[in-house]
Amino acid sequence: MDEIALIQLAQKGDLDSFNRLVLAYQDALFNTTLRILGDEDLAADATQEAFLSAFRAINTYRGGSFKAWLLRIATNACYDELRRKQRRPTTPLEPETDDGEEMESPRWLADPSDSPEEELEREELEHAIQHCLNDLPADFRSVVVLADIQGLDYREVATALRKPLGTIKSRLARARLRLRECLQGFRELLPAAFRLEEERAT
Amino acid sequence: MKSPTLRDLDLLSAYLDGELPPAERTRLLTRIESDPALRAALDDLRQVRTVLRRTPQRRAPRNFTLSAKMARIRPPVPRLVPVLSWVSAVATLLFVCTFAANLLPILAGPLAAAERPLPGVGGGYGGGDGNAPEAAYLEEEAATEAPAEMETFVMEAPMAPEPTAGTEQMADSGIPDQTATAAPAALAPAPEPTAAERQSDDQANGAVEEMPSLKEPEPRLTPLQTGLLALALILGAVALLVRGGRIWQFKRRSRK
Repeated sequence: MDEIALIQLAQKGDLDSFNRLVLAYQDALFNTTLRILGDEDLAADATQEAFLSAFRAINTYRGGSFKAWLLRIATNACYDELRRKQRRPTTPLEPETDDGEEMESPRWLADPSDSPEEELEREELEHAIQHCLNDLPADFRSVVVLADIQGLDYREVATALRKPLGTIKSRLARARLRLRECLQGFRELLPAAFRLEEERAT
Repeated sequence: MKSPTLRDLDLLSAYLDGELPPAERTRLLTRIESDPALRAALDDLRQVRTVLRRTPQRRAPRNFTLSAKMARIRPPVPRLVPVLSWVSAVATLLFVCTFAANLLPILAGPLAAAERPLPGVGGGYGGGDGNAPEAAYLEEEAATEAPAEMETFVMEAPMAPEPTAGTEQMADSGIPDQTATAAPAALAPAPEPTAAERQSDDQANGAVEEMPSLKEPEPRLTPLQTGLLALALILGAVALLVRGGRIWQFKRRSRK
């Protein structure tokens, strides 16, 4: 079933249809909230809150990019979390094995194809990026996360953040400039991924 | 080599994302070819974008699908809402009106008394004004005169306008109580009061004890004030009931 049909059914109150949309977008929303908040637990809370808000407000969706619409709600949830600066107590839901038993560690998230070196490299890159993102003001962070990490175009980012295109352009440029300065400090830590000099030469 | 301005950076960043209009894009390309600083800045922006696009994507740590229970639960009403509801607002307004109406006579009392002409006994008893010696004289006289006279004075007080004014001021300043206690104290040196004197003393004391009730007019609410107060209480109770009902309704939904 296509996305529009699922949205229309969800607008009529069909929870199963909405949950299919949740499964389709939960990774995108979680990654967005994770990069904006910089904390997995807060990101999970914000993602859950965003989907709950989206279900309640599904009738206000009037077309356009559904992903951008969802990301707008997720970004607002992140801003709420940032304002709150306080974690709500939550019950962690552990992933289950094929037998239905709970797994104690979320190591199932790791890609089994990665070698230990690749995994380490990936973790270092992620750590460096997250560190530099955390140094940005929240407004700049959300723009760069949506545009460069989620791959939204300027109009979608403007829709998601409810800001004029000009604001998105200038914030993205300044955020990139500041990230460039920050990431330079991690060049030795990230030899394989951060090949700025090689890219410059090509 | 001149470093690019912020405006140049905006243009370079938009050019990188293919978001520049054709005319602007052509102009910028011409400048990039001739300006190494712009070229370097463009490279920097491109490299940052490349790194950001390589940011590892995580899988969601769990499914965020909604259960029927989660979808049905409505958030509790924010606490400010009942405070700002019209019932509470009206109740508060009426309460303030009632309070102000009760306060007015108290505030106006001393002013009215001060403006009232009081020959003989002044109105400012204990107020530190020029009538203090006269008041002291009255106190002394009350202490030395026979209690029977005091009784007469007390009984006649409400009827006579001028003494009433004086005694009202005495009552306001709290002096009558002092007078009442001072009178027996002043008479204490008398060696052995006779039975008739004791009786008359008792009568006098009884009368003096009644003085406050006679001298201090109880602040009474007008029917309008009483009505407003009752209305405020009723509306306040309604606000509480409504709030309680909503909480009960929310808990009932949550249990389902």
